[in-house]
Amino acid sequence: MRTLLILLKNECLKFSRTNQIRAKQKQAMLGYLLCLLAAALYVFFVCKISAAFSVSNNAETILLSLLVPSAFTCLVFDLAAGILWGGGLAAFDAQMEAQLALPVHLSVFLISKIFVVYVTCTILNGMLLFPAAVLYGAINGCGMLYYILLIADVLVLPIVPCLLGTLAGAQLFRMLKKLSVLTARCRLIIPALLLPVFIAYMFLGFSVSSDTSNISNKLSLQEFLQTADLFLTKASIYRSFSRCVSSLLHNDMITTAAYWLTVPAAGMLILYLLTRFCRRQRNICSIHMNNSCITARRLNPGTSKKSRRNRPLYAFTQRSLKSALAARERRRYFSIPVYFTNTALGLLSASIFVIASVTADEKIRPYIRLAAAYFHIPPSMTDLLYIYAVTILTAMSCTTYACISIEGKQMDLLRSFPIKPEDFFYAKLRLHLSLSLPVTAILNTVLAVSLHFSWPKMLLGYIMPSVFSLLTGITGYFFNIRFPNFEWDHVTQIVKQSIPAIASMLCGAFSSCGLICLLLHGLSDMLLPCSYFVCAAVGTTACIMKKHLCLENII
Amino acid sequence: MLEVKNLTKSYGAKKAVQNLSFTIQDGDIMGFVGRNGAGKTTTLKSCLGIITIDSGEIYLDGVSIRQNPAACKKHMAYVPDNPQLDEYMTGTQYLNFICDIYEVSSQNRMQSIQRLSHAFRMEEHLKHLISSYSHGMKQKLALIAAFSHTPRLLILDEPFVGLDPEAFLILKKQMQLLCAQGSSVLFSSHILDVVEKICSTITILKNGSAVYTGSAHNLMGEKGLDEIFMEVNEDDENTAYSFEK
Repeated sequence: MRTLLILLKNECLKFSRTNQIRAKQKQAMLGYLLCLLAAALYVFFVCKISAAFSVSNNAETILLSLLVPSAFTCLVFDLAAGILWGGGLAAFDAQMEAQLALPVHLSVFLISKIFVVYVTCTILNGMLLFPAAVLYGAINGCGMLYYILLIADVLVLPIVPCLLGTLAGAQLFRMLKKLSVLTARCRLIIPALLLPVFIAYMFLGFSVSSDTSNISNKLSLQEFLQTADLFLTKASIYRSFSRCVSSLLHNDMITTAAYWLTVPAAGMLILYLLTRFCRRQRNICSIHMNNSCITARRLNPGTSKKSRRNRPLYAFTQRSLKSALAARERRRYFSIPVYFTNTALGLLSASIFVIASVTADEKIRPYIRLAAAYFHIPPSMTDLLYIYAVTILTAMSCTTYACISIEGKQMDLLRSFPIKPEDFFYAKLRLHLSLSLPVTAILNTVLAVSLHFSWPKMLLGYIMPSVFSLLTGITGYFFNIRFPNFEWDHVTQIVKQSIPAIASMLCGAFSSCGLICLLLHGLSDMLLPCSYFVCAAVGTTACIMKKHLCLENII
Repeated sequence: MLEVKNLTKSYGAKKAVQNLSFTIQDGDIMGFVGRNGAGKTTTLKSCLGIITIDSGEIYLDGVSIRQNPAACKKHMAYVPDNPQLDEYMTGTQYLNFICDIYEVSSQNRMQSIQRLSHAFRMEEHLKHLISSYSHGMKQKLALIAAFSHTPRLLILDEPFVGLDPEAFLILKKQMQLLCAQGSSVLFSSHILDVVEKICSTITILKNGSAVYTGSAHNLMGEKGLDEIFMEVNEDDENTAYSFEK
């Protein structure tokens, strides 16, 4: 137990990066500001939820429309965190080898590693569930026992999904390492597709039987939530999950006992399986060299058996400096799964959204109409919501926030090259735009053709996601210049947990969602011309930022 | 070729290098020796323009590294003490990338890489991912990359660490070959035997200042470099005395 506590302390120290932050006042200040912003957003969220549901004053409505969806979201989030984060920790931890040399049982190591994932999930679950549960308890007049059981339930909730996700994620990463050339490429896309596919399932999996034509043109938030709830409650998985949550909250003895017995037992079993998996994984590490040779062949399809025989060993062709840097960026981007999955999520979501809009318009259109009714948008302008959705999702994709930090300890070597700061900057931005511009262009063309956009709308569909993507790219670079981290041990530290990652994500979300919300709320009568004006403003801002960034001397 | 004048560099309150001046002529091999923290790596990085300097000037063939870093860097190559290369590339891809950066023509790069990879016994490994390389192999690849574009000035930080004895000898030979073409080499090392044997000029650093800089032959006389090094670091007065002599 003492060893576990020491390891937990070590992991927490590593995750929080307290020592590093202490040395960097600027980063610490921004960190505090981000925390304050997150706290303010949370308070805003709680106030909105309370305002929306205290009106109804009905415990059942709160249970079915708020608590159950929140619990379901928590469960999915925990599972995703387990797969993407826990799985990565179990499968790729570079320090595992050194730690295994210590006289500590493997399961203790695994617990200490997954503990950070568990704590994060528990905090987020608590933040999401407590406001709803307190509202429910207050209306029902529940006593202290209810709140104690609630806290215990929330503490136990992430155990199984986190462990299960970690086991699945570790297995998935191991299997994907072994597959053929094509699947070696696909392995980058699969984890990134998980969340968008889930979102698509949430949209399309639920049959919408209600007559959506009855939705009035003007809708309050309360009505909006109720209508959305109507769509959700049609799903069978959701219905059974809803029954479980209800029984648990009503302190049903059998469900509570089953929950409290099943979770620890399942947790122990999964931990045992995970330990076995990791031990086996470590035992086959000796074939690393062979595997990497295979991987090299996968990454270089040109070196297949036949072509190897025909090609000389050194098939060098000269490229210009700019294209060499761009090729290097591209190669790295598609070789680091964590980098790819975290930065391509928005574009993948946008693609899925467009595919869903085109192939199952009857299921997507009700949501669009709901939103149009909520924001009081004239029917002729409803199509703009598709463009806004693509813009917001595109703005969520940013490759530049980690582009400088990702050079890591190689930065000194790179600085010794005859590269100008502008070349360095353009190579990074080129990668970002080479991903977002073609994707948005294709998506908008598909949308425009299938939904019969007018020319001005179609043009807006090309311009709006592009300028927002440009702004996101430049903002990401700006944050990474200000807060570079070259001392990372694993790429997840800069891709997922760095200040530039959080700051650029918030900036992307605020700039796109914020400006679009302003448009929808205040200028819904002149939506199209105002959208063009916003594009011009964003484009100008991006150009001004770029001009200043080129003067920054990172190289 | 390389002229360093009154170089000063501080990290906060700590002065890493103070008023350091030295010159490297064409064809010279200069060795930097000194204790840990003496300012060797800082000096090397300053010469490359990797870090900004507080005062002083550094010229490569008369061109200031402060005024025109890109032009100077084009004629230099650097191998750090612990080369962190692009692990997602294969050896071939990495060398190709370096040659692109230094604008080496297809024919030249093919010739030089074939020659160097054969010399360093890396031919078979170049098609593998760098992530599968051992430390020594990464070091060899970094060296091949540095030699591949025939730089005017090659700067190496602890180049012999992690190399096998054969590669050790090959590196020495390659350094001499490069200098025979009119280029120069500047390197830091703790292996005094090697410095003694291959360097034409030596700079001994102590607390960021040059205790001695000049011909290796003049410095050593009848003493060995290790003996001089120990004297330098044991007693300041004795050192001053011995160099005056």
